[in-house]
Amino acid sequence: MRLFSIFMLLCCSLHSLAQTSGIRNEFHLAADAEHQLTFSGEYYFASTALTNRIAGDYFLHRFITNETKNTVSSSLQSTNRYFAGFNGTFEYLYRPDSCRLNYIFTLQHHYFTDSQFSDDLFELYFRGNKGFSGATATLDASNFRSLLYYQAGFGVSGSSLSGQTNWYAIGSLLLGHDVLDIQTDKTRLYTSPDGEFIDADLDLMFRQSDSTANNPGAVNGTGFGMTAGFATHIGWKTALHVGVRNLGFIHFFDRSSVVRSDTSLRFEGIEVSDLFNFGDSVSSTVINDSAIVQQFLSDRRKEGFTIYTPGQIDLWLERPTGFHQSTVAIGMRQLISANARPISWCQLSYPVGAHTFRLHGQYGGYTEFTAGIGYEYERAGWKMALSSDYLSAWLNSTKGRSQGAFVSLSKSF
Amino acid sequence: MVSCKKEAENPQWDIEVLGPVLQASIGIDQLISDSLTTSDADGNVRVVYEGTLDNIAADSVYSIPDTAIETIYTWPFFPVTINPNTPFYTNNKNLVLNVQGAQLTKAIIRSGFIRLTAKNTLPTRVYFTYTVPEARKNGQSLSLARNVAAGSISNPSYFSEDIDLSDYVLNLTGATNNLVNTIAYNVIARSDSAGPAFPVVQGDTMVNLTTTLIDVTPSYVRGYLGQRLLNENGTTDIGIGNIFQSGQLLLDSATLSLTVANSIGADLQAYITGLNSINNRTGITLPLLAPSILQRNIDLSRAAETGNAADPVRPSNRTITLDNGNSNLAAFLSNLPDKIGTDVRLSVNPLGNISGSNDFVYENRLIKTSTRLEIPLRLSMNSLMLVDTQLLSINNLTNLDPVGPATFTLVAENGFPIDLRLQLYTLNDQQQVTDSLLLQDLIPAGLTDASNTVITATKTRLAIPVDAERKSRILTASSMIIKASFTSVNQPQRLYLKDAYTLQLKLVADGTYSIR
Repeated sequence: MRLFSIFMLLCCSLHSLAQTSGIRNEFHLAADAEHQLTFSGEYYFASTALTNRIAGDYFLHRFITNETKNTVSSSLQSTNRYFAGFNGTFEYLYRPDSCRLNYIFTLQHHYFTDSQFSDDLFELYFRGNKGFSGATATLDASNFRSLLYYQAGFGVSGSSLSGQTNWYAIGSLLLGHDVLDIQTDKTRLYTSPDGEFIDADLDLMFRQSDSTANNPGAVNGTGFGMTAGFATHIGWKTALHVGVRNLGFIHFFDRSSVVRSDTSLRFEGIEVSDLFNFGDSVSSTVINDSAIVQQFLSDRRKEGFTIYTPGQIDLWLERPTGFHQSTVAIGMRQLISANARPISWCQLSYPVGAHTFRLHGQYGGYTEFTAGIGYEYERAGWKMALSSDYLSAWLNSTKGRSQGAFVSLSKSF
Repeated sequence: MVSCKKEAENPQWDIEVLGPVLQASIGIDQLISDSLTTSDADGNVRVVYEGTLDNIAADSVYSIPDTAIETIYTWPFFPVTINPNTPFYTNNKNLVLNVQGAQLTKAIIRSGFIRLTAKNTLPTRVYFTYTVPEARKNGQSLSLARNVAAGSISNPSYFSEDIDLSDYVLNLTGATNNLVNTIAYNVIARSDSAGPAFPVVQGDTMVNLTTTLIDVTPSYVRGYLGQRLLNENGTTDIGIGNIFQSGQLLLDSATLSLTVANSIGADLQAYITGLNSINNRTGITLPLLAPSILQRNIDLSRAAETGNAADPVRPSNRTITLDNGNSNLAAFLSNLPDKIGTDVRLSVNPLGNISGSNDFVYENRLIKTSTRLEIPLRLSMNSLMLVDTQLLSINNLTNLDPVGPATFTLVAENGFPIDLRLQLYTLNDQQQVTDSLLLQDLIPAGLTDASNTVITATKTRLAIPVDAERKSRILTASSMIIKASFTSVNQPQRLYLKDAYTLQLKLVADGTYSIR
């Protein structure tokens, strides 16, 4: 299991690199092939403050120590972000002999979670409210989203007559399985110094898909997604790549729950005055927690809502370095609907026979500067790719704030 | 990263929480049911208890016991042959009720039966016609025809049937209309028209019929109820006395109004020998001193019938009032009795049959006493202890496993002019005390002015450290005793309790909570 995990991790890295570099002719078959089957998977995590340690502890349900929290606290800003997910893909390309077009079929599984959160929200969530006695925890403009959906796509790719431009376009049916979306506007929590009351100023919204339909095959929403792009030579041996990936939306059905709260309240404890009724012998029952929640989550509705899936827009330039067969690429990326800052990146690729080695660096997104590596091996129609954009996960597992890996295996014939 | 196997069911970490858990606002209304309190314009509270008592049961005034009478007829003459379809017995009989003391002339039956039992030794079927001409229901007399199969001396035939008497109006003056407690009935016996002729000789049993009244309960009787004496001696538990465990209470005043409504159509006379305030904890029994009502005859005139079926009785009322002016009622109550001892004698028709046998009783309209006890809460308390036990099922209420070491603080704002000593005891299944939760138990009284009126509540914080052992004791407790001792300020001055006084309690938690 351990070896497999390492293998998977190594494998995952390369896809990330491949994704970010994008310098290959995506969704195009090799000139001598008619079919191509590809299996790939990736996971990723990146945050401006959360460390790999706390993410791992949280994901693996290990006990989160104060030391782990302290490391995160030292990096917290007024606004913080994280993004994590897992994708699994099966892709089939087909080009009939008589046709210049490649037909593309894809099946994908996507899970991602992202959040924008204040430093106070982290402290409140992981340390409790005692640290805020006599103070206000500010939870403004925070959000959290967790989305699991499936994607079935069909598209085509081709080249211009001159061979100077490659293009591709895929439309996808999105099947939403599960979503939880929480957004806060002005939300504050004040704890009195002696703990005798807590003032809550709440402006928040919960949206959740039908929680009763949670079997693996359940479909609680449908939508549409799109992936498209092109690559063209612009002179000086330089290619321009432009693309969008996984832009789309899912409308979750009317059985979904939407809860809005815009209220202020003071909590002074559960009312138990009846317990002190000496005038009778009736035992009173203390109301339970849900009764507390009810008073400020009164606006509950069953209604549908639409979620935009996280996508990305890429633009990059690539050209040979003049040193052997190596190439260099620089580019920009913007993640959509994912609480991310713009990313700028560069990448050096160095092929040696059937092997290709890559170095990758980027700035932005959810972290500052990160470095990555990749490896690709291609022989007799088989291609294997491994990459990771986040070497920090390996170099500093305690304080590193990003990790990810990609693996893919394809066969052309 | 090494393995994706999860170590627990959920993510886990500890948080430190500080906040209120429970709160209670205890006013006079919590201590005494709010329906029993009232207050004047100055906010001074008085307790008002109102209730009614049904003083006697219907069967203590009259009852109709089960009564049986046999009708046996033997052939008195020389031998003859009885032909088919021949009446051979007819007679009017009186069934005399075994009523003690009363001379009833009329009854309306709410429930009960007449059981007819017949035994036939004749060789033919015998047809009986049984009639109670003065038992009427919807204008019809009670009459029924039954038969008993042929039998023999060695193998008689039997018949038995219960006849429902509900809602029958009985004239109890007998066949001659000048008797009392008597039901007239008629029996006719006839041989079967399809049966054989048969010979009888002197001494042969021709009719063997038993009439039995069973469980007869009238809803109304009329007649002369007789002279009788009802004694009410004994003790009665009163709830409030069981709450107080110790201490002294001094009430300033109390007023008790007793309104006795006599709905019996007979003169009554009560004689109260004594009433005692019994406190079994202190061993003090304090007699009520009230010369105006004790040890003297209290006449209650007879009620009258209205003729209105919906409200047939106009009761005779008499009101008796006890207060500081004519009794020691305040001291009687200040004794905190857990029982009231009574010695009361009630006499029915003390002057005899002065109504011409027109006494009456409706089953559900007898003697009712309405009580109104009004106690102004101007009082003094000295270590007056209230104890109440609450059943607990905390483990069932919610999962408290994640609660780690914590200090709970009971924050009390006492707005009463009363020092309160509060203690909470946990009890196990064997009702043994396993813990006392409060290290310090005094919650001082609010600050008062010269008139002993609270001007500012006093705030007190009582810490309750809860470690793992104490938590276990609390969680496994089957019940909790709340013991509160009250001592009013400036003893023994009596002071008013006002409706605005409250004791605010709040339980604040400060400790570790494990997210699991």
